[in-house]
Amino acid sequence: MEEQEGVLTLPDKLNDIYSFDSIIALEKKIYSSNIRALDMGTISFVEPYSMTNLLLIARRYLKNTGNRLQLIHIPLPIHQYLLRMNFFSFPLFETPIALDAKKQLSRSAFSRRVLEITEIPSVERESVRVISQSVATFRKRGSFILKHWFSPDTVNYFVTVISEICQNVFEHSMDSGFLALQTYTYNRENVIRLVIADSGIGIEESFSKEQKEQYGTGAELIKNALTSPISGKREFGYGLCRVNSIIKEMKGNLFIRSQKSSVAFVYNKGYSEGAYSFLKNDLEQFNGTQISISLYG
Amino acid sequence: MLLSIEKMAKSMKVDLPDLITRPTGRRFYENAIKKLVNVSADETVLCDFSGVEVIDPSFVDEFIVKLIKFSKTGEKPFFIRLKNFSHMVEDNIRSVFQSYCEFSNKKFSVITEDITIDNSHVIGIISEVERDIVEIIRINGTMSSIALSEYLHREKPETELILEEMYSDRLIKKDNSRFTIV
Repeated sequence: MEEQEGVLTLPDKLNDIYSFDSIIALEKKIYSSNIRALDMGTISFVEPYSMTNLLLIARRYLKNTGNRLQLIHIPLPIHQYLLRMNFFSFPLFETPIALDAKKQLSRSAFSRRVLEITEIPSVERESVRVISQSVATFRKRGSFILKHWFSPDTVNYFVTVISEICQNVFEHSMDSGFLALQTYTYNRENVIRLVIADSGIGIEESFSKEQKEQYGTGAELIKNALTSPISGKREFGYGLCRVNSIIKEMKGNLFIRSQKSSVAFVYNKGYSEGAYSFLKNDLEQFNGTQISISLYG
Repeated sequence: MLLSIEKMAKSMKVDLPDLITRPTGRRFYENAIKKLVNVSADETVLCDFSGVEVIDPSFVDEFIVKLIKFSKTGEKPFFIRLKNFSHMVEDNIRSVFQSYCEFSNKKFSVITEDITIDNSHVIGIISEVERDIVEIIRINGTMSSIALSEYLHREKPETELILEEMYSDRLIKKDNSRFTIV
């Protein structure tokens, strides 16, 4: 495809957490080639992890250049979805041409499929208020959203997960973050995906040098934080550890990417104990920590 | 003394059924400490979780863990018993206590009024013998160390050592030479 000056055509890689690394690899080109617009023409599907990380890319671009990136040639279903998820409510991308009201997806306070993108502030007090609101909204919608996985405890498990991961944003990242949740059908499989992403200091930076000597660095440190109650800030940190045990209980998948490392715990494939974790280091740098939790059914 | 979490939440303008985040846990702890000013030494504080569906691990750490530590180390040590907790509340408390015990190599547990998912009246890590003691004292109300050593088929000095440790962990009460439920 012929590239226009200042325009970067995004590959159709917004449909999966692992594929999004192809987009991360292109971030440098945005700066080196003076890109001002991202061409979405080839995009067939956007899932929440990719969507929130696109916002992080746009936020970083705005911070670095003082300008907003533009999204062009957005296919109608993608445009409808992004609008529905409040993607353009955050003034990070140039606002695209307005979509006719008739073409917009309907909204309901009792949505059966989504928690719209919510910004988790970096200030404690404000953040606690937003997290409580998000949890309250999830409580109202939870039984609909989780209908394929529903048991009396499933909503309560998710309340714990949302609360614990969102707290890490203001407690450790020194940045604000984004939360989004969506259920969808992909390859005939029902998927629920919860994403909490920030572009802060990352997990490794929140631990001291001495702590890293003890707990490791990169993916090893992330794995340790998921399996034992370690904390960079206090004697113990139970949050990630508990989140991991809940996802294991629910036979879901947990993926964490932080700076240049990632860890995936896969509990839905019937692996034997110990054979479910995938650790990667030396990935393309992507500031902050991005967490994706998925259930399949 | 009854510590109604529901009433505390109402007075602090915190919406139930979910009690989440560290800052909220800290506020609840500070509020509880104020209420406990008048608690007598060795009194049982009944922590009632009616109306609560979820307390997250951060809240457990800031509120319950600190309250239990305070019950052992404050000027007037007291006892804590939890009641009317949901399955999720129990699960998250258990998870925090378990992680704490495994990582710090210390015992940490609390007595409950309701039966727990593992069919006992304790949440936390304690030995089988200690669990048996909690349950038998609960059934009988009060027992001497002699009666307990006979029940456990253990020597009296060994039994007394276990009982003293359980007393200092605030899992059983002591009245002269007799031990009673919390």
